[in-house]
Amino acid sequence: MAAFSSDVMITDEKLTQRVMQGDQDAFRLLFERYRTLLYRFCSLMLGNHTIAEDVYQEAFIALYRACRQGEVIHNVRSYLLTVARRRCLNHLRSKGRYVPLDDDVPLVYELNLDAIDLSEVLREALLKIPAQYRETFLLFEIEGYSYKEVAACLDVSSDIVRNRIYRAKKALQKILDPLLDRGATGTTEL
Amino acid sequence: MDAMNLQESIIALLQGDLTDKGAVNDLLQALAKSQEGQAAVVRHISLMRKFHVMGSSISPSPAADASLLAQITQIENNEMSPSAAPPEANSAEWLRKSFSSRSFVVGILLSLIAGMGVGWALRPAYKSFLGTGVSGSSAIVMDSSSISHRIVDKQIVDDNAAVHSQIPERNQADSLSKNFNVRNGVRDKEERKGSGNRENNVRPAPQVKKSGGLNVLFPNGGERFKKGSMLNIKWQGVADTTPIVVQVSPDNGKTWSLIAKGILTPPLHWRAPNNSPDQGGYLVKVSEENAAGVLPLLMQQVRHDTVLNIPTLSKDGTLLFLPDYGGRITVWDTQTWRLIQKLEGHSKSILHVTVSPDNSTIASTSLDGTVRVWDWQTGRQLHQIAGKGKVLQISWVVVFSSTGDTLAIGNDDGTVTFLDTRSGKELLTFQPFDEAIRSLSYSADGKQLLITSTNKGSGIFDAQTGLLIRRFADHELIANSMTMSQDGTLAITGSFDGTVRFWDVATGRLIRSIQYFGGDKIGRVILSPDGQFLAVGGFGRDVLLVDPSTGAVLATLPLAVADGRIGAWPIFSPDSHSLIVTHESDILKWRLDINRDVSDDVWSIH
Repeated sequence: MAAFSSDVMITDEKLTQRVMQGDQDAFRLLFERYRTLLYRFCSLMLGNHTIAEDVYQEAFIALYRACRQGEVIHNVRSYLLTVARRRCLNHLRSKGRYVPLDDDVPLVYELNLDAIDLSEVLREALLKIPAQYRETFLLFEIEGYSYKEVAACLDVSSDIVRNRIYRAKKALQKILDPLLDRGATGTTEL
Repeated sequence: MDAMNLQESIIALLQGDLTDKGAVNDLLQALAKSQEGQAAVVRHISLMRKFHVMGSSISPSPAADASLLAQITQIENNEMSPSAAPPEANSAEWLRKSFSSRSFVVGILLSLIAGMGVGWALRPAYKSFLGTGVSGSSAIVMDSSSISHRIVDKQIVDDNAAVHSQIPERNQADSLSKNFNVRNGVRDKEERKGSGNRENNVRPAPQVKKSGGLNVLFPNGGERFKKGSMLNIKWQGVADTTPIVVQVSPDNGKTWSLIAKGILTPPLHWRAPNNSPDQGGYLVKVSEENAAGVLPLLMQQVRHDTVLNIPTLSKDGTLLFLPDYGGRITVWDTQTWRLIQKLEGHSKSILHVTVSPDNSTIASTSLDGTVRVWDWQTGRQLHQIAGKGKVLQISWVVVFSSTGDTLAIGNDDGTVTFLDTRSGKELLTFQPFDEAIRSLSYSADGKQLLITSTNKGSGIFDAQTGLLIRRFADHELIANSMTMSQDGTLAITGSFDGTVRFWDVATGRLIRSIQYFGGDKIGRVILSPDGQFLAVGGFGRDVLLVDPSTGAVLATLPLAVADGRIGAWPIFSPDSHSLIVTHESDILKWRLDINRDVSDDVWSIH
């Protein structure tokens, strides 16, 4: 079951007002709108589908509770992403997989070049870069947010966002270059 | 520019970060000279594209979604409902209070049950609310326990006389509500009622209201009134500048009569008619007079595997019968959207399907030239007869009578045949038109047939004899669809000439004619059972919700695909709160959100 965009679609703000009154149908609409985005973000941040499911569920539950308790939420997408990313980062820290942001750390990692699933290779590459680069890259490149939107979501300046994305791409390029060059001419696509 | 700088610059350029014209030019010149640079650009773009593709393939599992939604429901029930007491319930409070013998016995019983390890403290406020002879309470109500709910219900029922003779004042009710702990909805309703109304008698516990806004206060269920007595109909939840329409149903919502409109402030004084039948199925409905506030919400979108024709719903709205171009009839549960049954037998597209009032039997017409009657639950075909026609031996439409004993069949030759449902024998055939019957339906009272024809004509006929009651002026092209209000005063037709025409049934006068789709064909017109909406379906055009009293468009319900060859077929749920639309292979279910409320339960006039 999937919703599709339509001229009749009502705003997130209106829906949250209904959720505030206990309208679960309105919540389901919000859920339909953002479930894929949120799950994708969690999944790529964490590299673990099971935990990603837990985190994205927690974010929606937090949204529901907030609405029902009368909290006014103007930007549902930002709200969900903020909750989700905090939980993702907490999880990564607790699991010791949080790679600190340090420009001097040489970004030399070994990829499993025998993996034939390209998606897996890309996901693995994402997990190799620092979490802060990763989240910024995901929001900008995968979810298509502007610098300004990413900045608002992460509560940093646009310049920082710009910088992180640049570094993330540079890191990913470096990690994936061996695979890009492997057995092909320099101009061959993956 | 060295390789590293080149790569960095490429990323910056592609990100839109390189804004200095000079720097951009330098980079482009460097790229033009450098094959390696060009390759780097290609690689970068390609890499990002791969990430996009990878990202678009990721989505949560349906199981995860279902689990989340279940958790939300649980949170709502356990934490958000008025009956949910905070875990840190103040048990010391009620222990201090005195005990009545009656409450003490109940308390002992519940205490024993509480030994199972779950308990809430019932507030002394509950004791006060119950009133008479109950000086304190030791009753313990457990959360989410069916046992506790039954015990609580019993107390409410037993003390009903006391309840309604000692209804607390509003401020006391407010303080009670904080500590009161009964199953969902009861306390909430009692709190809102405040001083209430002395005419109450036995009142069953009301249901939980789904959403806020307009809310019927009185009569709300269980009350008994004498014929000729005055009712003070009350509601709340809207500003006193919002005009309200008040309707009453004597038959549990099947039909509604308007008793007042334009009411700004309650109560509305209404005298129970002296000639009211002795019955207990009364409901009152209040709704905003200006239905322009309707806001449809798309709740379901289900994709079938082939093009669908006009759907039909069971009387209670729980089953959806879908005829399709593949010659099948599928039966769906409209609550769970589970496919329940698939009937195969027709060899060509099915044109129409109807279900008997008792939901046991369906009938279908098809381009294969047959009319078939089915026991849909077993899949067994009961009868099959040949279609009738001048050019095509086809019956186009079929509909059960209100009793289910008779099947009316509209044929290609302009005749209507009545078939005995049990025996399959033909009872009567009459000829309302000289060309194919296009649409056929019964009036709400089952006494009239609404018929349209490819010869542009439409009319109302006696359902027993076939005699003409009212003929409306012809459209310019095929009259494709017809609907009538429950009270039989307004008829509406839709035509291939692009017009929807509103008729005064008593006189046959045309009230208005409107082209909703700029002259494009009208496929279907159908009034909601409560008369608030007219749904207009075209061919590949978005379905319109229209105010039948003015013809104004209230809302547009988009289709998933815009295929102008295929009709969009709307049908209302029996309670008028939902609209199902089939178009192409899509089934769309819309919730029609309008500020209105109905009595929680029936009340009676004797």
